[in-house]
Amino acid sequence: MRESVKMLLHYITGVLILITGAIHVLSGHFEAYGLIKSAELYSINKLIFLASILYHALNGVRVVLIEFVPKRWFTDSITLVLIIIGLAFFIYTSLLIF
Amino acid sequence: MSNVGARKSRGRVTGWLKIRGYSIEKVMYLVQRISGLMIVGFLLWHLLDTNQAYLLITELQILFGVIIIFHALNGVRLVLAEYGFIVGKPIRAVYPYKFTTLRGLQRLSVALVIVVFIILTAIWILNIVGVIG
Amino acid sequence: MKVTFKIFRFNPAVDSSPRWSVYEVEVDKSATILDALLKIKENIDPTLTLRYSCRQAVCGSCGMVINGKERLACFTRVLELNSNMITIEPLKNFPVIKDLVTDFTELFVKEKTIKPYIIRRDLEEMMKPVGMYLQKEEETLSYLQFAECIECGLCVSACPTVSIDRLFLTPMVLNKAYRFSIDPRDEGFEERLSIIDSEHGCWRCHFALACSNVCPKGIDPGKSIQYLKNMITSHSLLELFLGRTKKKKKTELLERPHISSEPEI
Repeated sequence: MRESVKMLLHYITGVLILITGAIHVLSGHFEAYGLIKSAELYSINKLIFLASILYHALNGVRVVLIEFVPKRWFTDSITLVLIIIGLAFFIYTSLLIF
Repeated sequence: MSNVGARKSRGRVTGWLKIRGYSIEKVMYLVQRISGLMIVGFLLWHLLDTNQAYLLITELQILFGVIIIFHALNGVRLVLAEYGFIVGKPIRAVYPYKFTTLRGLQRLSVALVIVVFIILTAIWILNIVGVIG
Repeated sequence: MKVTFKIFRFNPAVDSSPRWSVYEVEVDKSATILDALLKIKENIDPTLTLRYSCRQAVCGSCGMVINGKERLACFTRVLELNSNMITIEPLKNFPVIKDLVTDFTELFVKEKTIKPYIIRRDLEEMMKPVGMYLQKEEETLSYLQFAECIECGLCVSACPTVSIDRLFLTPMVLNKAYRFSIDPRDEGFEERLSIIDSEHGCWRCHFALACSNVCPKGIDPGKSIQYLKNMITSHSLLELFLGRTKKKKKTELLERPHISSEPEI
């Protein structure tokens, strides 16, 4: 994947986090006032939120790391390592949600 | 070669902390980066620690709320800026030089981010402390 | 008026670590930092080494860190700094050759990789020109501001990303890449893409605007790099989803029949 596409996803997930994160934080309020009462919707929201925030956070870490270690081998291998970490976290946490 | 024995380049991470003499955008870059790394730490903690007892500590709640608010607001500004929407059109470089990135819409967005940040932070802290909400 | 100068000194042949020399110089209202440095070199300490040429902010040789900020020595008056103690260091993020002279080799190697010249595909027209490419004003304005670069290296010294990432292309080179990619006569954007759109390319710019703060020629590298990002993103999105690229607006060829009748060699 090109760097421009990675960074575009970084910005898109950033905006997604804003929307889904607001719902995630305010879900308690929504339920208390009886506005939206759908456990499945909240779960789907949580899943999107989780995927976006993992991508956004790990890509952010990648950006900082490849700037700190400007070596070719590191630049090439760090992406793979972070993808594995991200997938592990995603599976572990989505098992907790459902 | 003429530069045999020349020293390694000067300045490493200190380049981040060099703020005097530069405009506020450099400070915001530094804060954006540090707050981002703090949020990653918070996120990993939040995902791994399932009983989430730390959410009861008021100071931690306030701290993470504040850095998330800043990171989000400044992030929106950065997305707009980095795709060239608020940096101004190319102009002629005639002395005295005008930098459209350091004035106009971009500066306005910086001011807006700071003002909204202060308002939201005040609401957040008052909400946690229990004055409102 | 007497002003104290604290100057970074380092001679790799003799010194193991840098030292600071302090000089007192009498300056008048119009004296620039460069004038004061030359006065020191002529009257007090002939071993002080610096690089300068034009004395009028055109050649870009005398960039240095003056009172903590990157400035051209010839473009800064001593008294406009409003301080009795003036600290002068060589540019950061460059290896020091001696005293205030820094080594730009690495920067120029990076500059070569992005092909800083106009690339065209019409070989026939280039070998046997039949007309001219007269630009309209808006076509010129799209790149004119970014073409003023004198390669003084001030933005490279100020950039917080360059200070940690040695492979980052630097604001100067990215500005150059945009200047040639947006030029309506140029057709080489795809050739530069693999370098600019890499891990250490334009996406490591995080809009700290340190470059725009120090630029002595009003170029605003912070602006051109963001436009470069926009250009690259729309290009790669079109390629990804539609499998084609946007046609660039080009300067039209104005045919001039008399040009082609060149004398035969």
